[in-house]
Parts: sequence; structure tokens; C-alpha cells
Amino acid sequence: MFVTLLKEALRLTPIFLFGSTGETLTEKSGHLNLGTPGILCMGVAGGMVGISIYDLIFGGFPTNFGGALALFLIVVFMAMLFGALSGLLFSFFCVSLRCNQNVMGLAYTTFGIGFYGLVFNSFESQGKGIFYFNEFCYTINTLFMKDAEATNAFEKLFLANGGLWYMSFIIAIVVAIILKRTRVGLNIRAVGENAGSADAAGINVSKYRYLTTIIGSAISALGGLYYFVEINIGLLEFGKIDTYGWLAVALVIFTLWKTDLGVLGAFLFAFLFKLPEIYGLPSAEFNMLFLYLPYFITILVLLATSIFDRKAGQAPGNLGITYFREER
Amino acid sequence: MDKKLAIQLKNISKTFGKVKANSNVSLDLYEGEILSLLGENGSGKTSLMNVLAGIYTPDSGSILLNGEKITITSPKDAFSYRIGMIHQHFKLVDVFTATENVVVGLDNEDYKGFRRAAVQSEYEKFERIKAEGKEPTEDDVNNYKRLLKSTRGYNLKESAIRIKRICDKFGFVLDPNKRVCDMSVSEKQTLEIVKTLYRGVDILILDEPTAVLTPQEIDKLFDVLRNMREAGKSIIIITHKLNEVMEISDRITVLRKGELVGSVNKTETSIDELTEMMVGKKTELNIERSLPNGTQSLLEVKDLCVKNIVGTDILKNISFNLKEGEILGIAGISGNGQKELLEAIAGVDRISSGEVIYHRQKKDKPVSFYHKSLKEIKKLATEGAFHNKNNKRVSFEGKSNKEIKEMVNNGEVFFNDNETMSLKGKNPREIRELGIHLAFVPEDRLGMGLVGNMDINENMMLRSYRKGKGPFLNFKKPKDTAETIIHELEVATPSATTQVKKLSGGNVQKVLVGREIAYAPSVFMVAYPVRGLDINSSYTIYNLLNKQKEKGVGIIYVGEDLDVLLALADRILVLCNGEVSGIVDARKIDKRQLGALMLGNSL
Amino acid sequence: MSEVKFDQKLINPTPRKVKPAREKFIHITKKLDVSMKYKVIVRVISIVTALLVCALILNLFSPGHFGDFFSGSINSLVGSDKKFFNSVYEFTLLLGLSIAVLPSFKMKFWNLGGEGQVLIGGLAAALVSRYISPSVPNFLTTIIMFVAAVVAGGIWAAIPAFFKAKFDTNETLFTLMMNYIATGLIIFFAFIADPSHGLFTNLKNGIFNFSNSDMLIIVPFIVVVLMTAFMFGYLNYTKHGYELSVVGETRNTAKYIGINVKGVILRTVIISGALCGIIGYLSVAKQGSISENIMSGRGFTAVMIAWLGHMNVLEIVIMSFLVAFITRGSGQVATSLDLGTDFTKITIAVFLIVILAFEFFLNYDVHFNKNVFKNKKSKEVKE
Repeated sequence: MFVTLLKEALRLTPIFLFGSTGETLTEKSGHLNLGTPGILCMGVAGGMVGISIYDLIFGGFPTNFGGALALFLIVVFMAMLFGALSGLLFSFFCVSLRCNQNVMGLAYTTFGIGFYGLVFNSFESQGKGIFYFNEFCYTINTLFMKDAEATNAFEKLFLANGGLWYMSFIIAIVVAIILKRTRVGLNIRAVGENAGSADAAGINVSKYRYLTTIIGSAISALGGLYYFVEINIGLLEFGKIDTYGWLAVALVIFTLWKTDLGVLGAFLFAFLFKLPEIYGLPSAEFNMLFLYLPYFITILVLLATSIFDRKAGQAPGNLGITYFREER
Repeated sequence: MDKKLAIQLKNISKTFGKVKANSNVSLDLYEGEILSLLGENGSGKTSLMNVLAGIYTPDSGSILLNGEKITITSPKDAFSYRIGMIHQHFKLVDVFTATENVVVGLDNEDYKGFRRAAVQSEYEKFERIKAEGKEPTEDDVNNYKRLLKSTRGYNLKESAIRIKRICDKFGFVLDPNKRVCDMSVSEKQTLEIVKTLYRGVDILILDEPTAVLTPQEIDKLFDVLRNMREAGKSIIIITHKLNEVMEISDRITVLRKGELVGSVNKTETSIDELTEMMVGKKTELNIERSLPNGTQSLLEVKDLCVKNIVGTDILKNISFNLKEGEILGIAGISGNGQKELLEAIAGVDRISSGEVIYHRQKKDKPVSFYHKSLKEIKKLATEGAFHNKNNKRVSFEGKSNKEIKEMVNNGEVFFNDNETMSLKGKNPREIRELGIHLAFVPEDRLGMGLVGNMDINENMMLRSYRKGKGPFLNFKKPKDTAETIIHELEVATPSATTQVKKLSGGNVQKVLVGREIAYAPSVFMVAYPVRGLDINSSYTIYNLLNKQKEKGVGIIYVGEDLDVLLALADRILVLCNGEVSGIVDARKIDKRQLGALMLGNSL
Repeated sequence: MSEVKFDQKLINPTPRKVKPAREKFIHITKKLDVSMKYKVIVRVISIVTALLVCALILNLFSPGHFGDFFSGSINSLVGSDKKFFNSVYEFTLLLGLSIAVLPSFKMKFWNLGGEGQVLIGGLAAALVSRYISPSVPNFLTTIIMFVAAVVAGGIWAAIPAFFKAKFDTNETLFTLMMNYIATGLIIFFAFIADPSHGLFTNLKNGIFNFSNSDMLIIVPFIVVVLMTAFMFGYLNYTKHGYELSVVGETRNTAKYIGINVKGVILRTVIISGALCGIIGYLSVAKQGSISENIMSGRGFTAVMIAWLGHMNVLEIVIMSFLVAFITRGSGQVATSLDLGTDFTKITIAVFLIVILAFEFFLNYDVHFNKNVFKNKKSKEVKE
């Protein structure tokens, strides 16, 4: 039972991890993107579009490894593209037009939720419903998976996963290294801490904000794709994915804007999410309530962070503030 | 001697909304000179230099290098032309270390200033060794080779070594691993200079570099600047302090109201001429300081301690008292606890230990011989006796006992009734409700004293909105106050319903000071009230303060201009690292002695 | 020993070179004075543009139906009595919710929990209605329901407000998570009330009961209009309103004049929550049921309406009306063209995003530097 819990938790982890990694990268440059839940939805939409593009080009399911790989790459590319376009839109509004980031984020989340529903709807009306996506997703899923008949716990936990699962951890670590140990990372942090100083030091604030937001959104979108492809295998469960997106945003605060800590944080969130599902309560009514434990824990996490991190030194200094150079 | 032009500004204009910051200003800068850009606050000095540093894009006009037009659209462009600016509010990232602040924004460190500085100093060293007829040692050679290594990578340790070399060459003291938030103001300034040198700057612009330094630190800074001039660099100093202009600069360019007045060589001009160029007409400006007219203590601060949010001491055992009708100046390098001291007294900041005691004098205590003896009454009179009709001070000296008895029996004389109240742990509202009129002009005008997004009328309400019963606001009184202030202090504003943030700095200050004076204070605390104001407005403020002083108000004045402090205040309290390093008589001390106290040295 | 070579470039620095001028084509400056007329014009243009963009999006997903967006929307508004009353109800909900979250926003407290506060208010009302003795007179029950909803909504809002005031806990996510927990509580109590289905329906006690079913809509409408009037007065003419705007503008100023910042935060957010509770009560009393979907995302929309309405009650009324118009209209169009209910979300989002974009023209001036092209041309000629 406990192995099952661990397995399920590990399987859920990448959604939070992709989301929080992307959001952390964005927030480090001073952009508070509350559109992340919407961007996760856009990732799902990207996945669906990617699959249909593959179908259009190659006509049918991939039969060999090469075909499956091509499918995987197209799907990942499309999801990232949808994410990147979302990031571009967000940056255009909040950097070039200097709109309020919170309002833009909320509007974009609404948009994203509507958009993936609409895309699914239009596929469904073409006769490409749940089963259509399910088959494709299954192929992508098993692409990098070691034989599904895993014997010991280790293999079950760490080897029986799809390609996106591994990507989430690699990307989180890579982003952490970039932020901590490179010139680019230093510049990103400077932009997020104090855009005015960064500008005076010769950094193109707009360029950095555009780039981190676009790349961050592309990463976040993979969270949606992962959910669609590897967890639900082509099924859509409305009202769930944006919830994960909000938890990913909360995770950024909990992990003090560090994506390497995000790996642990995401696992913890996933663990708490799966705990009530796997160890249910005897009473059905209370089990209903028990399912909402993760949200309650998230509140506790927010509280703990605010109580113990009184200096507020961890959040980027200019988070949520648009920059205009010729301020008088 | 032929001087080579470093850069030229031609007919620069820049407007903000309807405000002309610069109109058709031209300026020449030669290599290896120190140019002072002189002008009052608001004359457009900083705007002009922001154009050169790539912060502002001018509406019209051009920048010429070697006679050809260049375009500077960002600070990065400015760096590529080896122009660097040190802003009045330092552009540093607080959570970064010195090294990180220096290298941030550089794509790589090849061929940047550090390499030139370092290679030049190595070259000189090797030449010296050769001249002595010796061979360089292997260490020397390795050391040099290390310098030449590609610096494209990101290695803060290596960068720190290079920063050290620049510091050695120009004589700076800087710890590369110290975080900016732990630095003093002069350390931050040093870091800013090192940062520009590291980028290989040939033209250095400093905006009001001396405003926050002690006389001793200013000497050091000027030495460094002279060093840099010797190394062939051109320096522009933005300032409004005439004595410094005469001390450091080679040439002086004067701006007034955004327009160019003219450029003169230092050797061919005088302070008087410069004043006239700067202010326009020759004006008699002096501060008329009267002697303090009261002896009563108004405010007593005992062993006051304040901690910040992390729990470190910001103020340690501050004790002083403020008498009625005096101006107590507070001097200190900025960030040494001035802000916290005023906020603690005003009840904005929490006091961790110590006492703030307010003495309320009621000049209305009747006394009769039924209760007191003649001797006791005479003693009381030394603390203050007042006539019942005009409230004027009555002196018993030279009066016979009979006369005194008669006056007291007729009820002509009232005595001081000293009531003490503790302000500790009370917020500004509670202090107000005690009936104590404690006015406070904080350093941060729009962030604390006023609300930028509200209009003048609404800002007038800040102090008084609670007056009157019921849940509704009274709009009439604040409107009247606003009209009075706009009229009497000549606030330049379209109307009383203009948002305060749209006013110029001087007018914002007039609104704030006016409101606080309208509050009829008994204690008046002001922090940097003339920051950003032109000369005439500044003297208006000084005169207002002196008038309040003559009325018997006790004034605490935090200032940065030591000349003004010495001329305005009666006593000066010097703060250093949150402690009182001295309370001195302003009439008996000079600037250097104050500077020494500010640095924590005893006299 | 190796010979040491010195790079002459470094010892004698090269003179600075003039690089080809590259001026920027677009130059943005801050707008300092905005006249009322200009504001209105920008607003009108932005609304028209937003409507056109929504129609374009409809055309994208369902080609050839550009005009249907407008005709469908107007039809959904005045097509029949039922449609009209439904539109009024949509407007009532949006306006009520926007007005309810307004005070917390004016104080810069990002209350995304309006939805949860409505749900909890509604839940309290529903529980009263379900478990109160039927012998209690109907008007008394409904008053008790009202009070319960107000108190529950206020308490639900007070929780994040308390922690915001005390520890500066991030209120955006806190209130958001409270929404989910409110959802959980509704499902939980629905199962308690109806163990077999988990549906909280068929409430009888204290539910509006009019012979004319249109009256059902008129009661909430009147209550929301009263709420709006109250909020207008509260924000503009009372000491409380003044205090909360000072706290919203700068905390330091509030401290400087001795406003009890924590108290004001708590008070204002509780008022927000209580008003949300009223909306919950109205919804339950009108429908006679409650489910976790009664607000279906209107909480966010209300937030955006409050913000895009510049925290101004009159503008909020107009914005609520427009958004209600779009919601109902696109809903009807989407149903008739079989686009699914999600189309409504897209149109609302796009509508708000376009209006948000036009805020730029209220704050900034754009200048075009035509010299950029002239310079390029003259260079080409030279070459």
C-alpha cells in the first residue's frame, strides 16, 4: 500500500514540478504570472493539437520506435509552443503595455480554461473524442518506459515512467543551476530584484522579462501536457488541471523561489494529494472532506512560510511591479 | 594647451508632460577635466545627465562624439561609449554582494576596464623591474598570465580578484564579498565607482555625490576623483554646493530652469558670480536665528532603544531633551537612525525600551498664600509665572515682597503647571487624542507624509478626518485649510483637487509642511524638509521654522546640509550607528568637528 | 622563462568609435494629465474593439457567424421575458459580487475568495433552511438565513484577513485555497443532508415564494442595487472608506497618522465577506438549492471587473452590465452553434484582456520617431 502511495505520488509530482519550475523562472525576473493555471490548460490544448498534427502527417498510430519518437517530439513541441505563445502574450501585456500583472494573469487563466475545453469540443465534434487521444497517449507514454512488468519497488517507482516524467526533474535541476551559477542567472535575478539597477547596469530588462516569461510558460505548459498524456492518458477531467496550476503557484512560495527545492516540494504536494485518495476514511462523507486535505495543507504551508520567513528576503524584490525607465 | 573634446551635447530638450526639464541645452566635456554642472534643484541637471547616460531619450537634440552624431538609447549604449553615471539613489541590488553587483549585466569581462587597469599596472610593474635590471620572477609571470586568461566564463572568485586590483590602483577600500544591504552609504558609493571603472568608463557622471558624506569622506572622494583625472578620465559632478564647486572643478556649467546660463573656467570666476548665474537675481538670503526664548523642557527622551524587524538595534540608548522655542538639529550620515528616531517619537515605530516624556505646560495655575509660603512661590516663579491678561512672562526679580504679595492676592499671576505624559507605546492617533499636537514632516513625503494619489483636499484630511461625531467625513474644513495653504505658501497647483503626486517636489513639500503647521504644533519634527527644493523655497521653509520657534514650538530638524544645520539650529545632536555621539552648541562648533562626530570620533 | 608580451590594445586603449546610429522607432512617455473626455473616448473605443474581437473569435471557431455574435447577444438580452430576466439575474450576480469584493480591492487586498465566501454564505443559509423547525414563520426563517449567511461569509473572509494582518500571509493564494475548501464543505454537507445523492436541493423553509416567478429575480436585483448604493456612500463619504483607501495607497502613511492598519484590514475584508454572504443567501433563497457550481468562476470575473472599473462604483456598474451581456450572449450563441459552454469563458477573458490593453493609452503616450526611416533611406542612397 505504501509503495502504491509513493508510486502514485511520484507519478503526480511532475505536474507541480513543471508548473512551479516555470513559474519560479518567471517570478525570478519579477513577473508574477497568475496565468499559470491557464497555461497548464494551454499545454493540454497543445498536446491535443500536436497529436492531431501527427495524425494528419503520418496518418494513424505510430507503429515503430521512430514514429513514436516523432509523435513525442511533435506533442512536446506543440505544448511548449502553446505555452511560449501564452508567455509572449503575457509579456507583451505586462512589459510592453505595462498592464497589471494580477489582472492579466487572472484573465489569462480564465481564457486558458475556456480554450482547452473549446479545443476538445471542436475535436470531439469531428469525431476525435476521448478514445482517439487515449491510444496516442498510450504510445507516447510507453516510449521510454522500461518493461511495464516491473518487479521490485525501485523499478516500479523510478523506471516505469514516461519521457516527460524524467524531463521534469532534469529541467528543474537545470533551471536551478542556471539561476544560481551563470551570468544569465545573475542577470535574471538582478532584473527581478531591482529592475532599475539592472537597467543601469546595462541589462535589457524587457528582453530578460520577455525571455524568462516565455521559457517559463513553455515549461509550465509541459505540466499540463504531462497530466494529459501520462496521468490521464488522453482523458480530460475538467476543473482539475487549473487546480494543479494554482497549487504550483503556491509551491513557488513554499520552496522560497528555488527550483531544486521545488523537486522536494512538488513530491510533498503530490504525496499529500494522493494520501486521502489511497488511504480513504471509513466514512464516505468525511472522506469527501478528506479529499480537500491538500488545499488545507497548502494554506498551512503559506502560513508557515509567512511566519518563519519574516524577513521576506526570499521573494524577488520587484515581484509584480512593472518597470518604466523614464519614471520621474 | 590643446584640449581634446570627450563628448558634446547639442541643443538637448526634454519635457515631462507640461514640464520642461531641459530646453536647448548644450554642453562640452573635455578629456581629463572635472566639470561641475551647477544649478538649483529642479534646474534640469539630473535630467540632462540622464540623457547622456541613456536613461532618458531626449525630445530633440543630439550627442556628438568626435563631431559625429551618436545615439544612446540605453545605459548599455552609454557603457559602449565608456560613459557611466552614478545616480543619487544608488542603482545597486541590495541582496547581491559587491562582486555580483559589479559583474551583473556584463556578457563577458574581456577588454573591459578591469583588464586595461590591470594590464596597465602590470606593465608599469614589469617596466620597473626591467629598469632595475632584474628579471621578473615566475610568480609575476604566472600572475600576469592569469590575468590574460579568457574571462568569458562566470567565476565570481576570479572577478573578486580583479575588483581588488582596481581598488588597489585607484586607492579604494572595498570588501568584494560584502552584501550591499550591509554597507554604509560611502561604501555603496565606492562600489558604484568601482562598478563603472570595471566597465572601462572614461566619462564618469556623479549626481550629488557629496550630499550624504561627511567633510572627511568628501576629502577622500575628491582625492579619488583627482586620481582619475590624472589617469585621463573626464568627470562631471552634479551639485548645487558652491564651495565644493570651487574646490574640485576645472570648469563650471550653470543651468537655470532647464536652460543653459553659461560655462566658465574656475580660475576666472567667483562664488558671487556663480550664485548670480545660478539663482538669477542677486538675492539676500540669510537665516535669522534668534535666541531660544524658553527654558521649559518640552520633550524628554530617556534611554530610547529601537529594534528593526530582524531584531538588531537601530537606536541604542538615546537620551536628550527638547526645550520650547528651540531648534534641535540632528546630524548624522544618512541611515544612522535619524528616520527611526523621529518615527519612534511620533509613535509610528515601536519603542523597544526607554521613555519619551512630554511635558505639557498649562500656564494657568493659580496660587494663593493659603497653600504656599512666599519662598515657595518665588521658587515656582523661576519655573514660569505669567500674567493673567496677556499670558506674558512675569519676573519677580527686583520686585519687593509687598508687590509680589499684592499681585498674587489679586490673582494677576498664574504659574506653570507641569504635567508629564509618556508617549511610549502610543500610536499617532492616541498621541493626538491626548491633546498633544506633535507635527511630523517625514523624509518620505509621498510614501508617508502624504498620499500621492489623493488630491490636496483629501491630504488635508489625514490629520483631522476623525474629528466630529458620526461615521461621515467632514469635507468643509479640509477644503478651507487647503485654500489657505495654497494661498499663503504660494503652492503652484491648478486647483485644490489636483493629485499631490502631480505637483513638483517643492510644492509637495509646501503642502506637507503647511498641513503640519496648520495643525498648530507644540513639537514639530522635520526630516530633510528642503530636499529637492530650490533656494527660495528652502529659505521660505527656514523662515517658517524660525517663526514657529519664536512662537515657542520645540523643533527637531534633521538635515544633511551641515552649513544649514549650523546656521539654523540652536543645539545639534549627532547620531552615529544609532547612538548619540554628541550634543553640541551650534554656535560654538564648526563643520569639521561635526564631521568627526558623525564618523563616531570624539572631539 | 617565457617572454611576457603586452597587448598594446590594452595599454593604449583604442579611441571610442562612433557606431551606426540606431534610434528607436517607438518612444513611450508617461501621460501626466488625462482629461475626462479622453478617458471616456478611450473607454468607448476599448469596449467597441473588445466586442469586435469577441465576434472575430466566434468567427474563427465557427466561420461565417461574425454578425451572429451581436444579434445573438441582443437576442439573449431582450429576446423574451425569460431571457431578459435571466440576463438581469446574471447582471445582478456579477454586480453584487464585484461590489462585494470592491472594498478589499480598494485596500489592495487581493481577495480571490469571493466565490468561496458566497458558497459559505449560501451553505449557512441552506443549512438553516434545511434544519430549522418548519413551525417557524417563513419571514423569520428567511431573516435567520440572511443573518447566518452574512456571519458565515464574514467569518470565512476574516480567516485570511487575520493572517494577512498578523503575518502578511499571501492573501491571493490563501483566499483561493479557501474557495476549494468551501467547495469541499458544500459537498460534505450535501452528503450529510442527502446521504443517497449528495444533492442539497428542494429547500422549503425561508425560500422566496412569489406567485409571479419573475419576482424571484427582482428581489436579488433590489438587494444588489441597495448594496451598490451603500458601497458608494461607504467608500466616498465615510471615515471607514477614507481609512481603507489610505491603507490601500500606502501602509506607511496609514501608520503615520495612527490608523490601526490591522484593524482596518480585518474590518474591510469582513465587510467584503459579509456582502458575499448576502449574494450566497440570495442565490439559495431564490433557487431553493445550493451546489458548489452556483458561482461558476464569477469570483474571478468580479475581481477583474472591480479592477478594470478603476474601483469606481459607476464604472463597475457599466462593466458588470457589459460582461453580463457578453456572458449571456456568447452562451446563447455557443449553444446554438454547438461550441460548448467553454466558449463563454473565452469571450469574457478576451473582452477583459482587450479592455486591459487599452489601459495603456490612459497611462502612456506613444511617439513615433519618423527619422528612423529617413536615416535608413538616406544611407541607402549614399551607398
